[in-house]
Amino acid sequence: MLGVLLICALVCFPLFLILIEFFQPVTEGWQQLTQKDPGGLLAELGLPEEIPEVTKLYERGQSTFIMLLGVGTCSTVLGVSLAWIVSMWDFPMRKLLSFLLVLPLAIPSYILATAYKLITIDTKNEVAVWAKENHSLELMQDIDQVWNYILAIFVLTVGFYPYIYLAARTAFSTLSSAYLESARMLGESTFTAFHKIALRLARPAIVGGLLLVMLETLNEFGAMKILGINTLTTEIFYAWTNLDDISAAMRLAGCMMVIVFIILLLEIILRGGKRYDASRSASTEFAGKKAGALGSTVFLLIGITVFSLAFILPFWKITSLACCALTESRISDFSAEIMSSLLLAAKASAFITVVSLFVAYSHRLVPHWIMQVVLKICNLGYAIPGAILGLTLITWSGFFSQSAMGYKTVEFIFYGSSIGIVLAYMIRFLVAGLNPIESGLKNIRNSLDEASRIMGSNSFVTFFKVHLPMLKYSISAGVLILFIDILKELPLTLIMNHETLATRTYSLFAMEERYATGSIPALILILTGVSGIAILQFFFRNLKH
Amino acid sequence: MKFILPTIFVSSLMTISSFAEEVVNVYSYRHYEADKVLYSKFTEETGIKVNVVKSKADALMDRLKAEGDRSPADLLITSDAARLVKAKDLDLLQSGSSELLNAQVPANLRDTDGQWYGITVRARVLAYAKDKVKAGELKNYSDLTKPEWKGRVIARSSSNIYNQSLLASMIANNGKKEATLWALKVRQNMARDPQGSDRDQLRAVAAGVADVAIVNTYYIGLLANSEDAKDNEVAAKIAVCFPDQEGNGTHINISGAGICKNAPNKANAIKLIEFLTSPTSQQTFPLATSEFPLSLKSSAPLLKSWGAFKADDLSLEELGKNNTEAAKVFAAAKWE
Repeated sequence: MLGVLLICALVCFPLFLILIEFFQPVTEGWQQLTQKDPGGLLAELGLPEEIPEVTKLYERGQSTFIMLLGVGTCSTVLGVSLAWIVSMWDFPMRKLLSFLLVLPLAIPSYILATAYKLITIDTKNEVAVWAKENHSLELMQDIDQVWNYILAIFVLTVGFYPYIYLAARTAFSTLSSAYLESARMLGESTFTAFHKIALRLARPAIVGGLLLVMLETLNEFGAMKILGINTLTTEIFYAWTNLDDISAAMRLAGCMMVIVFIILLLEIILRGGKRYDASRSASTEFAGKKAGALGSTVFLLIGITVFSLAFILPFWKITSLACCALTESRISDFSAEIMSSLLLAAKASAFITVVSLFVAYSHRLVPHWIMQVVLKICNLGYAIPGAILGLTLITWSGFFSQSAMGYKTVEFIFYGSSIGIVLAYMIRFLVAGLNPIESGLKNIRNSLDEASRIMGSNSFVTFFKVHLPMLKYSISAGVLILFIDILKELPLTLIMNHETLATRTYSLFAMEERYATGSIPALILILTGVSGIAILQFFFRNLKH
Repeated sequence: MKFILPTIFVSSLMTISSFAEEVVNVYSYRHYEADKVLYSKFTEETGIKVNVVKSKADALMDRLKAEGDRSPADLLITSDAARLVKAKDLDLLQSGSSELLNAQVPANLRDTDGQWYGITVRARVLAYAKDKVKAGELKNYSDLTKPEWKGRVIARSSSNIYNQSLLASMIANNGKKEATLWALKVRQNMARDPQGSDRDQLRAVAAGVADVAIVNTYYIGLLANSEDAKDNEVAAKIAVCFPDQEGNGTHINISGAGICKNAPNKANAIKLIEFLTSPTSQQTFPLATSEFPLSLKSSAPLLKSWGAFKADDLSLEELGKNNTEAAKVFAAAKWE
C-alpha cells in the first residue's frame, strides 16, 4: 500500500509544482502573455493605437477552445456514426471495415498533419490568390486563418475519432440485442431505436472516448505547430525554449490544468452518474440487421471514404516520399534512432507494466476505499499534457541540481540514464497499462484466490502461479498498447530532449523541412503501429474466448 | 538511456579505431551529404578518420553536458552562431587557434577567444516575385515597413532562430525601439499570419499569395537544385534582393564549429576546421548546399547570378547575446 501511495505521489507531484509556481513573483514572459502592451513598450514608443484589444493568453485560450470544440464535435459524430454502422447493420465486408477503421490510430498526428499539409498546400495558395484578386486582401487573410483551423480540426478528427469509434463499437455490440428487439417489436424504427436506446445506453462509453479525444487535442503539439495553429501547448514550448522562461511556462501549464479539470468535470456530468447494465447474460452474438443493397452500398462507401482519408491517402503520400528519399538515404542512417527508440519503448513499457501489476494487485488484496481514490489519481496522469509533465520534471531537477550531490544524481537520472524519461512515461501512461490488467484481474474470480490459499499458498505464490498465467493476454495487450503509445509520443520526449524516431521525424518535418528524408522514420513508425494494432486485434479475439 | 548505449557504442568504436589510426569525433547538426564527401577527403589527405554523431543542436549540447570529462566529442557543429555562443556560455567549449585559422576565418565570424569558428555563411535576404516587383524597388529591410507593402510581405514564425538572429542584429545596430517598430510594421504588412517554413514562404510568393518573403539564401538554392520540377518553377519565379547595401549590409549568420571542452583529439579538431575553412573546401559549399563561403565570393552559377553583396560585419557574438531580447520584441510586436 505504501508503494502504491508513492506512485500516486509521483503523479500528484507535477500538479503540486504548478500550484507553487502561482505564488512566485511574475516574470517577464508571463507579463507578455497577460498584458496587452507588455512592459509598456508600445506606449513608450508613442504607439498606443497599436496596443491590441486582447492579450496573447486570451488568443491562445481561444484557439485552444476552437480546436477542442471542433475536434470534439467532429470526432463524436464520426466515431459514433461509424460504430453504429458496423455494429447495428450487417453488410458485406463489415468485419474487415470494422477493423480497418481503427487503423488511423497507427499514424501519429504530426505525420498526418505533415502529409495533409503537403497534399493541400498548392490548393491553399491558389484559393488565397483567387480571393485576393477577385475580392480583397482581408478575405484572403480570413480564408487563410479559417483554412488552417479547418485543416487542423480535420487532421485531428481523422487521427483521434478511433478512440470514440472503439468505445462506441464495444458499447453497441455488448448491448443486449434484447433491448433493441423489444424496441423494434414495440414499433420503433431502427433510427429511433438507435436514438432512444442504443445511444442512451452507450453514452458513458462514448463520453469516455470523447474524454480521450479532448485530452489528446489539448496535448497536441506537433500537428498544431506544423499547421500553424498557436495554442496553449505551443505557447508552453515557446516560453520554455525561446524565452528561457520556465516560470511563465509553468503558469501556462496551470491554466491548461484548469481546462483539464473542466473537461474531467464535464465528463462526470455527461455520464450523469448512470451506468446502464448491459445485461451480461444476454448473448453477445452479433445482432445487426441485414442491410439492403442500397444500404450496403452507402455504408461501404462511407466506411471506405473515411478509411481512405484517414489512412490510405496520408500513408500513400508518406510512402511515395520515402521511396524518393531511399535513393539517397538508407534506412540504416536511422539505425541509431531505431535502436534507441525500440529499446526505450521496450524498457518503459516493461517497467510500467510491472508497476501496473503491482498497483492492480494491491488493489485486489486491499480493496479499501483509499485504494479506489489512489487508483483514480493514478489515472489522472494521462490527463496531464505531455509538455507540462516534461516541464515539471525539468523544474524538479532544477531544485535538486542546486546541491553538488543532487546535481550528480539529477545529471545521472535525466542525462546519464533513461530513468528520468521512463518515470515521465510512467506518470503519463500508467492508465494505459493499468486498464487491461485491472479488467483482466476482475475476470478472475475471488474463489480461485481462496482455493489457492486453502492449498497453503500465500498471496505471493498465488500471484505467480495462478494470476499471472491467467493474465497472459491482458498483460501482453497492455505492453503492446504502451509500446505503441511510447514509440510515437512527441511533446514529452521533445521537451525532455530525447532523440527517438518520433522526435527525429518531427525535427526533419517541421524544423529542417526535409520531408522526403523524414518520411523514412515516419513510415517505420506507421508500420510499427499498424502491426501493433493487428496483433492487438488478435489478442482481443483470444481474450473473448 | 538516451546516451549510455549510443555513447558506449560510439566510444567503443572510437577507442577501437583510435588504436589503429588518428580520429576526430564530431557532434553535428549539419546534415548535408556534401559534408560526408569533405570528411572523406579530409581522411584521405591526413589519415585522420572522422566519426560523426548527428542530432539536434540542443540535444547535442545536453549530451556534452552529461558526458562531462568522459565525452569523446572533439567538435560541435551547429547551423547558427547563437547556439555556439550558448555552448560557450555553458562552458562546453575551449579555446584553440592557429595562424591558418585566423587567416582563413574573418574576425567577425569567429569567437574572440577562439572557441568557435564559422564554416559557411547564410544571408537573410528578401526574395521577391519577378513579375510583381521591379528590381531596385526594394533596397532595405526597412522598406518592408512602408505602407505600399501592405498585404504583400510574408515570413515564417518568430520562434525560428534565423528570424530571431535578424532581429537581434537590428537590436544591436539600431537599438530596441527601432527594432520593435520594424517588427510591428512588417507584421502589419503581412499577407497572412506567420506560418510554415522558409520554403513555404517562397512557394507562396511564387503562387502569388504575397510579393516578397524574408528567407535564407540557400533555401532558394535548394528549390532551384531540387529534383522536383515544381520546386524549380518556384525558384525560377523568384529574384533576390540583398538589403541594406548602403547601410550596415545584409544580415548574415554562420554554420560553425566549436572545440569541445574535453576534446581528446584537440589537434585533429583544429586540423579539421582548418581543412573545412581552406579555400578548396570552401568552394565546394556553394555548389553542394548553396551556402556562401566565408569569403562570400563564389563562382557557382546560382550564387554568381545573385551578384556580389556587402554583409553586415556585426560580430556574431553580439547576435547570440541579443537572441532572447529579440524573442521578446517579436512577442510585443505580435509576430507569432
